[in-house]
Amino acid sequence: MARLLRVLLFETPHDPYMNLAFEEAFARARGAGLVDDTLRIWRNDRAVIIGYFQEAEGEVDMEEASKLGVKVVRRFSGGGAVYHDLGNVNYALAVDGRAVPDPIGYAYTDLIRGVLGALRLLGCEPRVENVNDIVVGGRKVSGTAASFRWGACFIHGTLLLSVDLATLSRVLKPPKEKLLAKGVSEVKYRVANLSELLGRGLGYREVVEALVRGFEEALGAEAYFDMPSSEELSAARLLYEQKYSSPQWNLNRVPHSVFQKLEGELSSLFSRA
Amino acid sequence: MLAVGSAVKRAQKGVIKARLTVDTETLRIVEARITGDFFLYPEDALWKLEESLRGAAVAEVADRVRDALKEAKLVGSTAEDFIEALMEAVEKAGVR
Repeated sequence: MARLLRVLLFETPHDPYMNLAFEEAFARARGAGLVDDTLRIWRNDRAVIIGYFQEAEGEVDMEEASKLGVKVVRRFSGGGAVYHDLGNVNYALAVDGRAVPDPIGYAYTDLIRGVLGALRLLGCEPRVENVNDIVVGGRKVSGTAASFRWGACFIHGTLLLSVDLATLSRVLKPPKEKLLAKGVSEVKYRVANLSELLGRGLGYREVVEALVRGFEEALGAEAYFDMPSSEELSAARLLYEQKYSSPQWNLNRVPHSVFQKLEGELSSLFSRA
Repeated sequence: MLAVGSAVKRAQKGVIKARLTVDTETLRIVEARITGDFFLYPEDALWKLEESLRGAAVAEVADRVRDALKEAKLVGSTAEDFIEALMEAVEKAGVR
């Protein structure tokens, strides 16, 4: 029997806190062996997602974000801040991480091929630059970040289809050191929308199909569409209430271990399942 | 007297921002905070690194970093990048 790839289209675009809570929930559920390898495709409306090690104040113009109704949420992986709106499609893949001898190489070399395959199906000629930036025609169209915890090997990222780049450049503070070194003046010149590069609009459905096929080929797997399990939803609810909706997590750069009560509740939830 | 110094180091991939509070009389680090968009595995090694820097003499910074990151894997940056950021922060705090 072919390897199976479960696909979830579960998303809460108007509640980015829940979207990111669910991201952790399904990664944990995969790591705990409660679900098959899972590809999640989802969208956020107007949010800045910052990396595990970042300080919100340093990356985001908080005043501007608040004025524009852009929420700031932390993800559990490292890397840099990204701006999401409905012009992005996000992908996240969680596979069993326990038998992977070199998870970093596997994630950034093998799993990333799913995204490259999807971009080829959409008519692009993508390249990977500097470990994990996906570039088309010299412009960055996707960044990826991997994480290896809870027994899962996990990679996620965002595809820019038709993002509002003006809002992006208003809310994200330009990484000065990076730009000075590259002689680039603003964040918005480093990234590009796929619709601009391809000269045509890209629909959500078309991108979903390309991602599913891209990851099917990369993993040698057969995809099936599914709904979140009750454990994933319960875990997401706990994560949402105690972590992802809290300023302590989103703004303060604290480690997971700060949320002791939550960790205990998640362990008992998954051990009961 | 306590002095605060901050520095930013651009690695091959990602930026490392270091902020240190240094006791300028004992030449020891009182508080260390490292943020940025780098990739470090396991991720929580960062907090261990900060913990190991607290109370360290400024002269021990490089050894503490190398030791704390010995088992960790960095993608697109090196322990030396972290040391550079931290030593520049020490300097910015007015300690040489």
